[in-house]
Amino acid sequence: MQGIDLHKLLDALLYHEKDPLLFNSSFFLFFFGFFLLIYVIGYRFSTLRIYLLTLFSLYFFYKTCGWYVGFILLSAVFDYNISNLIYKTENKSSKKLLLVGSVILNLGLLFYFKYTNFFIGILNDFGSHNINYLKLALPVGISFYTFENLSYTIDVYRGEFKPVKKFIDYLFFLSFFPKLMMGPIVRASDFIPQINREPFISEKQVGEGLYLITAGIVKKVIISDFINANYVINIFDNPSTHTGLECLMAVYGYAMVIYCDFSGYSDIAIGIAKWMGFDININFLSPYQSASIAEFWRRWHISLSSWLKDYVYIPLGGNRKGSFNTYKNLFITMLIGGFWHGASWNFLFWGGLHGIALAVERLRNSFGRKHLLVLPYSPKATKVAAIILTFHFVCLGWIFFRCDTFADSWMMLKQITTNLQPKLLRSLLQGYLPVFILLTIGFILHAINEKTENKFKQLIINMPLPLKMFYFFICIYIAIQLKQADIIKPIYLQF
Amino acid sequence: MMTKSKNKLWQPFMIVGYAIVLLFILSFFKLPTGSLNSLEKIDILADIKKTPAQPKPIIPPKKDSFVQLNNGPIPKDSTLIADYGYDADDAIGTFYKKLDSTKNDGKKVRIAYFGDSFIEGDEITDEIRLQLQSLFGGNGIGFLPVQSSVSALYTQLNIKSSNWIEYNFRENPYKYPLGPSGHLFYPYIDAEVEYVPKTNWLPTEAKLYSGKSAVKGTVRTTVNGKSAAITFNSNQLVNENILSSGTPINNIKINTKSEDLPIYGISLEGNKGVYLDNYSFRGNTSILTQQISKDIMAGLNNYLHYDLIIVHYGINAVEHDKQTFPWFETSMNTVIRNMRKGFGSVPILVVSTSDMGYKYNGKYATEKGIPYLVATQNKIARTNKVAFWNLYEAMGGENTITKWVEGDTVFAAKDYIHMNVKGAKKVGDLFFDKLMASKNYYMNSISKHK
Repeated sequence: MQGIDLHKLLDALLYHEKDPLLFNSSFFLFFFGFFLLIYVIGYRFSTLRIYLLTLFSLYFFYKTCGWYVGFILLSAVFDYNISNLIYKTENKSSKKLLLVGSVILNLGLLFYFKYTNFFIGILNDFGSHNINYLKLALPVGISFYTFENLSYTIDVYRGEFKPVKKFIDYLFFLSFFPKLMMGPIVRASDFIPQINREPFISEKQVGEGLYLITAGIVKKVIISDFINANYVINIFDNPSTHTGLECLMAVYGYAMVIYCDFSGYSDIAIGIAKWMGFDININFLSPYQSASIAEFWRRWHISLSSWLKDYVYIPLGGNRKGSFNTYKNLFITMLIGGFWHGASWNFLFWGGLHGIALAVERLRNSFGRKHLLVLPYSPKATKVAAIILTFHFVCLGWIFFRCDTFADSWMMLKQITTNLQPKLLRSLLQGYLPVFILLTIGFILHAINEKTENKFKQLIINMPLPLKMFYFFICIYIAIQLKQADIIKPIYLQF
Repeated sequence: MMTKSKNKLWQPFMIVGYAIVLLFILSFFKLPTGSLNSLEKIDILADIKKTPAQPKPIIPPKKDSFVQLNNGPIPKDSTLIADYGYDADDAIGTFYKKLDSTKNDGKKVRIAYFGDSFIEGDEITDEIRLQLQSLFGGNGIGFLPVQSSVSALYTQLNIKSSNWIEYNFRENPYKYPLGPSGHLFYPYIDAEVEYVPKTNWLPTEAKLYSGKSAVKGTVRTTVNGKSAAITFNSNQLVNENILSSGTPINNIKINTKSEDLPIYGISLEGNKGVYLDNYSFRGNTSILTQQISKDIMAGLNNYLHYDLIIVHYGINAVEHDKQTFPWFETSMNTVIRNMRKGFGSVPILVVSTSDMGYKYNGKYATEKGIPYLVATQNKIARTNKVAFWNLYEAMGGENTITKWVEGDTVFAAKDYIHMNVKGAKKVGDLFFDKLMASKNYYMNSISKHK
């Protein structure tokens, strides 16, 4: 038995660039455990609770991205003050000016960190310029809290929301650690009223939180990370050395990886918030069950698509200015949505692809057709066909979303369409058996209907506390085992 | 009903606390051995525990297993080529001399490079070839299959194939004699392959290598748009048929309906300079290479006249943390013996495995078996009296692969084994530079001895 090294312990409390704090870091378990201990003791004292939670959130942020924590403080100071000013100002044009200033500053910061190098690249490519790229690291969560800042200020401007009176409340809202890094994007109007309310959770909420957190762990660590590290990452890294079949399976694999990764993280965030007595709206609703792209966006990253709808699509005119403008607005909104995900032509293309699909669907609906493919006498089969078609369109988009360059994306498509080699299926499945078993389980779990899901949720809610404790431990234990597991390298396919 | 109205805020703390306490206890206990072997020891405190001693370093094999001589053909610098066959007829020196004289005497110099997926797609070998050709002349990629699953990788030319039945090391139910890369192709109804070179250095010769067939073969060749039909006997184990000669080839299309004509591949080359033929097969430990008959090698060598044979295997022979490779040694000995019988008195160069990563405690580092495998490969070269190049050492030795995957400039793929485009160029250049340095070393040392 070895003792604890005090230096290492202190060092572990500091930020390390190569080891940022995530929900799936083992450090987080200690962090969260310690936090809950303090929270249980002090939750009744309103001011203490708010300050403590804010402090924990800022520390969490520091552990993820070091001194960039300053940005969230700065933007909180700025947006808190400007929103109050907007609220107090009565002159309409002054109000507007303040809003525009706020939008420019918020987006400017986001643009500077996220898009400067992208535009330098464009200038270098299209002009004869040779500008050096800036060495910029993207402050974690900036895409998320910028949107939260914007919606808050815009809501205040629109008169839909009274700004908070205390700065600490605003900082609390913006930095609330469960949703800080990967969302969901929380609306101030939903969240701020909960801040000063004494947290209360029932047995049901404890169970719901446990369900969400463990489901998130299964999705993120067990399904997503495993499939990604053992299969998907290698194929996407170099599609030209893999057959079409391997590429196709990697696309299906990636569809599962990105869903489980993102929604798993959201689930954990919502579950943790629930355990602290805060309600955050659900962010994903089995998106691959969608029978159309429009439905997909009602089920995928809901907090983003609803944000885009309320703050981009509707202000652009939505569907109120004739059908051509509606299509145009849909396209622009999705293009912005794509660009929000990352600074590259691939993300823009991905957004554009979805924008076009939404417009085409709308056009088709205007002719009174609900589905692209109508199978005679069988509405059920028609729906299944529509789900499969939608899924494959989404997968097509994922190719562009995941690949670093267009060249890689085209290579992936080329391999799938011209070099499929389906006879390799057996050896592929044999070589990566654990990966494909997990992938199948992932898709089966995804296909489960809400009723069955609720039954399982109820089962967890009804567990007595000791069983809940044990169930949580088992999930964590399996996750750690899988995190440490060896990488699968089936030699006949790989080398 | 009472419980429902009570605040259960303490329950999450109980749930999380319980897991922490259990994991804490687990991290101070050793797992029982036996049935639980596949379980990893869980130690959530690993990062903050006192380290018992230095983490286990890779114990390199004893230095004396790399024979180092102060003078003579085995250089002190372990990143240069060591020739253990320096006193034999097939010393690598004969190859160096041929390289130096090719420009004057106009004789072609030809290299056969046998390997696995590390050289698949001709990325690394392409760089070596280009470097050699820019220095010693030569135009063309050399031997090519008529169909390749990695055809997209070829940077020098486009390959479009249709209607070929492929037999290979892994799928060869009728036990056909396979070509040097472990492939054999039969036309199916109307087979076609088209090669479009993408460089300015156009090949001027196109040759088809076919196997033994009872009937005559007919091939229609379209070079730069001009068509011609050739009918030939294919009654030897290996037959060379000249499809085009003299004109620079911008585009060559080959059609054949001769369903009984087995085809090994074609060669696109010029009439002088250096050529390097890539004979790779994915997943090959070297054992598969034993399937290539020495008669095929001899038949091929009748036409291609090899001056150097490179044997580069290893990444598929690695077994996690293993330090001995007896089966690999036996297999490589057989392969070298077969090659000597097949290709005759041609120098052979064994290239060691490249660096390869393995996940130790969640972080990638050099697979611990690698230095041992390299030592084994060195031993194989020594016992067989052939030349040896330590690629692992030349790349940078321990943990190079981690730097190549995780560094600012990425050279290797995320599998911590294969190279990306940049890495392939780097390895190709490394090979070329070390080959030239070794050649200089050799030339200097023989001039001293004179």
